[in-house]
Amino acid sequence: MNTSRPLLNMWEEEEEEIKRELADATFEELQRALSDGSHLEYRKHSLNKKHHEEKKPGRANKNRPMEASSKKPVGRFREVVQAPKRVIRDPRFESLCGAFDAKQFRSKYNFLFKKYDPDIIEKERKKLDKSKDPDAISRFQNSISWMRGNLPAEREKLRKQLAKSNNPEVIGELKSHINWIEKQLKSESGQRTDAAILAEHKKKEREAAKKGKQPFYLSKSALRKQRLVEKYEDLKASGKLDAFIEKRRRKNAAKDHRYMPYRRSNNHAQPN
Amino acid sequence: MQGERDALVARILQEEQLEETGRVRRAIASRVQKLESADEFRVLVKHRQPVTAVALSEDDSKGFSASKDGTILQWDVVSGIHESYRWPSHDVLRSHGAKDPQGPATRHCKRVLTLAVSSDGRYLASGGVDRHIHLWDTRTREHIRAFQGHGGPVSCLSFRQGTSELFSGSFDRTVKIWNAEDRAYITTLFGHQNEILTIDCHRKERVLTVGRDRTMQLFKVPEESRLVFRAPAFSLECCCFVSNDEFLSGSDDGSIELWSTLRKKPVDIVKNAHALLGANKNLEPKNSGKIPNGHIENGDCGSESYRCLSAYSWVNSVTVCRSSDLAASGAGNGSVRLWAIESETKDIRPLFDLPLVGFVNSLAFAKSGQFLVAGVGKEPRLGRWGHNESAQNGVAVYSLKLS
Repeated sequence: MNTSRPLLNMWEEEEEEIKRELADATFEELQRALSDGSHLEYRKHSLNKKHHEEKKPGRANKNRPMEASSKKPVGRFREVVQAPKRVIRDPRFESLCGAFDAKQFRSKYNFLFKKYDPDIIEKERKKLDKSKDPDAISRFQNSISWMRGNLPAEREKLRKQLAKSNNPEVIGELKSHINWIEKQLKSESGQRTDAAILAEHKKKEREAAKKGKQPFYLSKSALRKQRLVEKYEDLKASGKLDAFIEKRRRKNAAKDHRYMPYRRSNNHAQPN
Repeated sequence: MQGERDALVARILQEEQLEETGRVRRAIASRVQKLESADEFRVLVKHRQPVTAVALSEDDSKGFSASKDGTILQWDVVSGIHESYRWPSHDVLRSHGAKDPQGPATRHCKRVLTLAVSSDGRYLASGGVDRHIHLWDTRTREHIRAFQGHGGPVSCLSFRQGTSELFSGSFDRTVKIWNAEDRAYITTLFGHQNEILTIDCHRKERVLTVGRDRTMQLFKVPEESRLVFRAPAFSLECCCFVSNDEFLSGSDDGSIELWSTLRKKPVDIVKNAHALLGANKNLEPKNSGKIPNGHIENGDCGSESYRCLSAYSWVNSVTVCRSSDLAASGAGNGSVRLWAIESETKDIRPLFDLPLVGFVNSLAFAKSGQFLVAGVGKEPRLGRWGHNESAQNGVAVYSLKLS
């Protein structure tokens, strides 16, 4: 083709020039150029570069040594300790752990908060004595195992330890632990009543919806009011309602006392 | 009759060829006899400063050694008669290609860290702290050329067997390839992330290097690639080829590892190969750790801690007798250990311990397996992490008795 010929001519001319230059250079200069490595610049045209740019296929076996290019400069940074990267999994945000269902959770872990009844153990023991099953003993153990491990049982154990120990540090720790258990139990009972109220409300609404009414969601204030109502009912049943109301009145009065004026105000007309 | 002799000659030549190329291994290790009480290393040549490198010529007649003050000696193995290599003047060096030192250094630092001699015995290459590689003619003991190009002290050199190709590794993390015959620089190989400490090359164009970045790399020069072997968490000090696919290395926790090209971790490890025994109490100088005013330095620990991971346990040099299964390793704990490399079970079996006081900075086996040469010093090769006053700076030789 016509376009390639001028290029070829140019290349040939350059080669001729380089050859002439080399012939003129002294031997010393040639030696110096060779050992410096500057002769490599002139070899770019004729260097037969093997194309190693294609990505090498991954090694056959992961136990084989890693293969890498020896032409690319590598940085100085190196990992000091070769530790495997730790993957942190938070079960709250992990999709594999599933969604949290409060009702299911509460029904499953109910045993933690149940106060055990000695009669139940007696009943189970009687059943054990009657049956002739070889596995009966293990079944009996299983059925009362929750009574030994749950929170009220733990509290009793800690109370006994508290009575025995002398060390103030240990006493402090045990007291805080018992405190924590009591807090758990109290909050759990509160949650239980709330859940019961909500469930009742839902049932009512469902019945009404069947009849055609629009279902309503129970608001927080309504829930609180219902809670108070239930509390009053309980207190009335046990007869402590008066004491409760009296205590409440006294507390509120003490709080309001600070707003009482202690000097006469001069707004009223003085009797002359 | 003629035919039989020819066949015999052909067979011998073929065996030699196979041994040379590394495909067959001579079983020397089993032939080494137990050492008698009178057998010991005898000092062949004395140096003023610790010896950093020794090299033997192919025909086992001449040896070369270099020390920290820059003296290079050429000695005869049998008689011990030595001649020194004189450093040329500053101007001659410059004319041979050396660059002037820049910055705060106003003089060339003559400390030589490594030596290598070519297979035909004509060229001796030396590398040191001045970042140049000096090429000497062995017959006239004259300086031929100085190659410059490395950015840091040249810590290791190796000629490729059968050619005049020279491989150099340096503290600037690169390996450079030179041609001694043509006095030319060929190319640079990258890969290490910290200083390169030892280099080895046999007949093939494959270079084995070991560095402080805890890796051992096998550079395949024609393919422009390298294989990376990772050591279990300590810096590797020295390495050598056992055959084309097996290597030996020594690390700075006193263990020796055997590697194969098929595994990225060592195939076999010998731990505490050069453990320091507690009886060597004379190794510590009198005022260890104290600065002149009598105050104690920050890092001074009692001499008890020096026993475990001190510089005396670092395996400074490891070498293998050419195309055989006999290996030797040296450290500063007072003995050179001989090992047998089993080819079927791929493990390292200890043979004997040869007592030698001092830091064994360099080892070299004779090609025939008749003797072992060790370069000994009062201090380790690359620094002054330990000092052993009772050692003798110089070259020691031990004749192996083969049954």
